[in-house]
Amino acid sequence: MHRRLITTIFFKDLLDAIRDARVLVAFVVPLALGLFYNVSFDNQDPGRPSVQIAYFSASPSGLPDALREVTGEGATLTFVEAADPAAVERQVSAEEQEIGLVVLAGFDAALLAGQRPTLTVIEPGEPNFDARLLTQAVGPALRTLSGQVSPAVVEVESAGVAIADSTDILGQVGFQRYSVLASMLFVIAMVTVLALPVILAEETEKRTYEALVLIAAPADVIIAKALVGFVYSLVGAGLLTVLTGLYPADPVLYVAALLALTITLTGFGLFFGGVFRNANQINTWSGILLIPIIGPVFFVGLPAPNWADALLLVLPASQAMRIALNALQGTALFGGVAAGFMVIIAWGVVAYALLSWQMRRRSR
Amino acid sequence: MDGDAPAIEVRDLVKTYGSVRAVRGISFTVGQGEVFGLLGHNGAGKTTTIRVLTGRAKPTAGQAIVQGFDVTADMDRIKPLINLVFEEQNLYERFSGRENLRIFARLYGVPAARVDTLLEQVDLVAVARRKVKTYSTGMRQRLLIARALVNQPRVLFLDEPTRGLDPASARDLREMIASLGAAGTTVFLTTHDMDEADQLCHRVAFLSQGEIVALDAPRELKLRFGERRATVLLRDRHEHDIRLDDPADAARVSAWMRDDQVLTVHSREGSLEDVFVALAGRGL
Repeated sequence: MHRRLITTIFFKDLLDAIRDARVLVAFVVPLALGLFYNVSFDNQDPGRPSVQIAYFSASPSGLPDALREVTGEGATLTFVEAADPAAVERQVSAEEQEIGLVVLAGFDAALLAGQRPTLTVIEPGEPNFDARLLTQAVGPALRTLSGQVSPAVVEVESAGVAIADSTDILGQVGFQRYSVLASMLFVIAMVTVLALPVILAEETEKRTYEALVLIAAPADVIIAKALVGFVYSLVGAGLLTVLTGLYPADPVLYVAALLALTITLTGFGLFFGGVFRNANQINTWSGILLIPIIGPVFFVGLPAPNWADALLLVLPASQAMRIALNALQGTALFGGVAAGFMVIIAWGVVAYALLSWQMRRRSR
Repeated sequence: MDGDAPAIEVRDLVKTYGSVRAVRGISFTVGQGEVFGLLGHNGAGKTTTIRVLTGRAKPTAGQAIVQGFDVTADMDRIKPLINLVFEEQNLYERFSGRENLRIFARLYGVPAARVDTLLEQVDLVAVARRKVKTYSTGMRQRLLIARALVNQPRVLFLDEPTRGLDPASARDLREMIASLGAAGTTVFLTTHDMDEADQLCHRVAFLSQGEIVALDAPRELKLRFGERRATVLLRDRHEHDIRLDDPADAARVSAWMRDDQVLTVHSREGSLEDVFVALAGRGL
């Protein structure tokens, strides 16, 4: 292995990749997709309802705070002050706000005195989920305001590792974060399994590979190409992270998952680059190559038949997605992180064994 | 290494690809500073021989030594001493001519100043900043030569260097090869072009179906295997093609001379193509 040879070929490929429209597109398209997802979907966590409330109170009241206490992290409540009860009704009927509350003068004091004051809740004709959520929260909030305590203490404990219910992954992570993360893995797949083989196959096709191995060893050329794959993948993932603000709660686990996937897919990319003798063939077959690699990423945690769930457990990209989702949220949404890494590494071993076999055949 | 030692020494070299025996036990030596030609039809084993000598294929059997080092055991020591002008114009098309040379200068650990010298040598200074994809075939071929000279190789291999070139570019290239030979670079050339080999090479080897069927200086081969012929123009303006080794033709010429029928006689030396046809039984 010769450092001068590897770095020269590496920098040559780095520059050439920017000049090659095919490689540039493979890099830019998933990046753009990630940015599109980021701006197209609400930044608000979709698992957390947001309720807009038209609110009028004739005297100061602790009701808004009591409602917030009851809903806690489960919802975001926004109170919009109205000038009078009629304004509350008007705003709800005009669908400017989702629900309205009218609090009479001395309401809180009346509650504490054990009286039964009237609280008016104004619902739209067809109340939505958010409006019903608030209506259900009113009762417990009033008990809090009146000084009542819960008849029992309820403790919620988790038994063992919390395994995500596949139906609520999007609810917990949010579609925006989920899709941006999937796009990040898409960047890595496009660079390693499309751009990298194109670079290598073109070298073989144009016979420039032969010129390189006049002075370099085939391993030097392959290592240089692998470095190009790593750099473009990690630059793409880094750019998407910075541009979307998708910062993980557990950065070490997050980077480890992306790095493991990059290394494994780079092995496959280099192998494909040797299987296909020209870049056009790779472009033709790229869909078939990419679908089984990147497709599963978009199904992780979503409702699927048992056989599909089992398949996701043995594929490298879906395992990387599971680990990265855990790292992103900082919670164990999915169990078996170590097993996930083992799956990715096992695929990597297969990829580099195939590559090694291919290189031995080539050098005969 | 010994100054008198051959630049290339090949002994009983065999190279097979699966069931195909591309090279079948060839042996030859090439002296330091010699221009040596390996001739033969497509599939004769010329490119395979170059691939083995340049370390891009391993010999199946036999031995190949370049500048005193065995290609199987010491290729890392051979690589800096050799270079190759490929049959294909394998350049980086999205890079300029200068960038192409810089890449290989770095690979060979050669100072960047050498790039300018080479660009001048092959007359590409004016287009050095242009992308190679805009170059003509002749310009690309000159750039290939420059690339192959970047490390000042002791042995330069050229695989069909003038194929596809227009006559003027081919002539320029032959002049460049001749000057390299004159400057002491050992040149190992494969070509289909018999005239080119005749003009450039000190010695040539004919390869047919993986075997060397003749090896000597072009003139010796032509004398040994080529037909001695003459064209005789008579006073009646008829031309006759005469084989000088044929007694009947010789008697006819004597008779025309005696009768003062002969206007002119032009002798025709056998060509290397004649030699190849005689040896391999087929044209090139």
